[in-house]
Amino acid sequence: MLCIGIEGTAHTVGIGVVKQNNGKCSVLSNVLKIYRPEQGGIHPREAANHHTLYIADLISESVKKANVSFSEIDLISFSKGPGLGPCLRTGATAARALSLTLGKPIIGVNHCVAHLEIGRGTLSDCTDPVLLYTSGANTQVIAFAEGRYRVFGETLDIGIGNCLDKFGRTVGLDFPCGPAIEKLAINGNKYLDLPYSIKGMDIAFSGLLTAAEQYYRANKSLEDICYSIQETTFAALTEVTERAMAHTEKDEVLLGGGVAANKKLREMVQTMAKERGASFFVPTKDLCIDNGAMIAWLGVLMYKSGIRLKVEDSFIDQRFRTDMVDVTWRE
Amino acid sequence: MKSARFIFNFDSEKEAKIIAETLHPEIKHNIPKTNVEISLSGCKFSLHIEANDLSSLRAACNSYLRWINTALNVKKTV
Amino acid sequence: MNKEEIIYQGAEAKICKSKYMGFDVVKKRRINKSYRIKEIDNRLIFYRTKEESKLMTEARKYGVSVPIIFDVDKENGIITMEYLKGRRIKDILNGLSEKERIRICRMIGESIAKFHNNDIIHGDITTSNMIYQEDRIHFIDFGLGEKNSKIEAKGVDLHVLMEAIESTHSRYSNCFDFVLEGYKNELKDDANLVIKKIAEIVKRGRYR
Repeated sequence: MLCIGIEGTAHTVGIGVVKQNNGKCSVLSNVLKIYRPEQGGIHPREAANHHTLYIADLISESVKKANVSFSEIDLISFSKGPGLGPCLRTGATAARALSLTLGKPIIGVNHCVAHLEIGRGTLSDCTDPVLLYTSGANTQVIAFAEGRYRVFGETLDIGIGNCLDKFGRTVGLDFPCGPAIEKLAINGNKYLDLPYSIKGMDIAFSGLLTAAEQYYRANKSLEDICYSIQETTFAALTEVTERAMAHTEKDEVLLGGGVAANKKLREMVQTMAKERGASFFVPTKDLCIDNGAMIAWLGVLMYKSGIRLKVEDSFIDQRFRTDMVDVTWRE
Repeated sequence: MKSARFIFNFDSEKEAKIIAETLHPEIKHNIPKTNVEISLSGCKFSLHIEANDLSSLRAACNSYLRWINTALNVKKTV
Repeated sequence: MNKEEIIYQGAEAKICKSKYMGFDVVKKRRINKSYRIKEIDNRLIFYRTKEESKLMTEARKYGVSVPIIFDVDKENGIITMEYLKGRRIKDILNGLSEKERIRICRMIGESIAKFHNNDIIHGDITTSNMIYQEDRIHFIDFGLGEKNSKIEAKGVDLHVLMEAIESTHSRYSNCFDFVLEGYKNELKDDANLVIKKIAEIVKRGRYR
């Protein structure tokens, strides 16, 4: 089964083509464009205009790169949510037009679940992981329990990526600011106390953000601040992940989302996993960030398990919760 | 109540039908403060948008035109 | 040196059985985590050990049964407390007669109200964190606890128990109704506000 996936929940518009091979996912192509606001945060309508501009070209590029023809495609999958309304609608519109033009079925998938399934689909031995999903807007710890993907911990205020971007903007770094902060942190070595906020299995970052900005205004070394931000936020993320692993009695941990590209975060989660005797997994970078291939892959899993969607019912859902998904493709 | 009407003459009946069906779910889930109706007759597709005020009308027009544009571009790429 | 036996290992701490001045005790030892830097690790272990022992002492003052604390070593993150030889509610609840089960559930609710009356949030109320001994319900593991007067915090606290009962004692899921009965009897404020909050939390769909 050959499936094309359309991702457009926030900054990224991405198209990927995947094929199912012996139950595993092989990615034939995965192309994307990222909207980068000139200043300030994301403006949903401008992002949607950006996606509109590129989406058709990306579709044709992905099919070419996959070395297939449009007529060979069996299924069209799109991000149903959660995300920004105007962006989601652009992706869904493109998916419907493609489905109707090709006369092939359409399916709408949950973006967060796709981040988890692409790990299971592309990494051997990754079967039942706890996912630490860290991106701009999302910070969640997700695992399979009692027939659904459940959120065991999540941010109570802003996403970790958002926290890094907001700090980066204050100090004049380019968007996305995570990589720049990572680089600066390497040369930091003095730890500056920052709030470490964990409530049960949930986590909060806004207090830390304010404190870090205060250090900057007090002329503390930017390297030391970046170092302290990473050490504190990533330790908290690692801790909630470990708690979820203990709670669900799982011995696999998977990273996903744009922040999973950060070496420091990988290192910390890997150390935690090693100490618990658990396995550590992280997909290739192009599959960690928001991308079309993961949307395509989850579409395949759902379609094969018997789920069908009519074009007229292919709505988006900005607040599509992880545990609303009926997981028909797992035991 | 402010309103706008757009009439499109597409290249084929099939194209007009694809555009209409692509927009259909968005019309069912209406944008707040607006009311949208579409009709199809052969290659002719008409879009009627009503809104409480001019700025809502403009926003709705922009959205629908963007979606039509997206759908047409995607169809052409195949 | 006393022989120590690990009886439970969690994500954050080891629970060891030991002796202290002739008494049977458990030592809760918080584990150093090598993924985080010393500065953070030491600060967290110190602070959490201090907070947990403080909450337990306070809960005891308000008439909630908790293990007696013998010693608190904040630097090394060790709380030495009374060893309870009773059984976990988790292990006995399903085997009780209906009448007895209802009585125990009401007692649980009353105890929770006693600490909520004083703004103590346990943070992890499950039937594994309650030990039945000498016809009293003892609460253990205040490691995720805090002081908080908000209805939201109390609602979340009870919601955790609701889900624990639903998953571990699903045949007797009406147990939670009896917990709430006991809670209502003992809570000084309007318990219905907290109960309404629980319904709201269920709707939000959070899970743990």
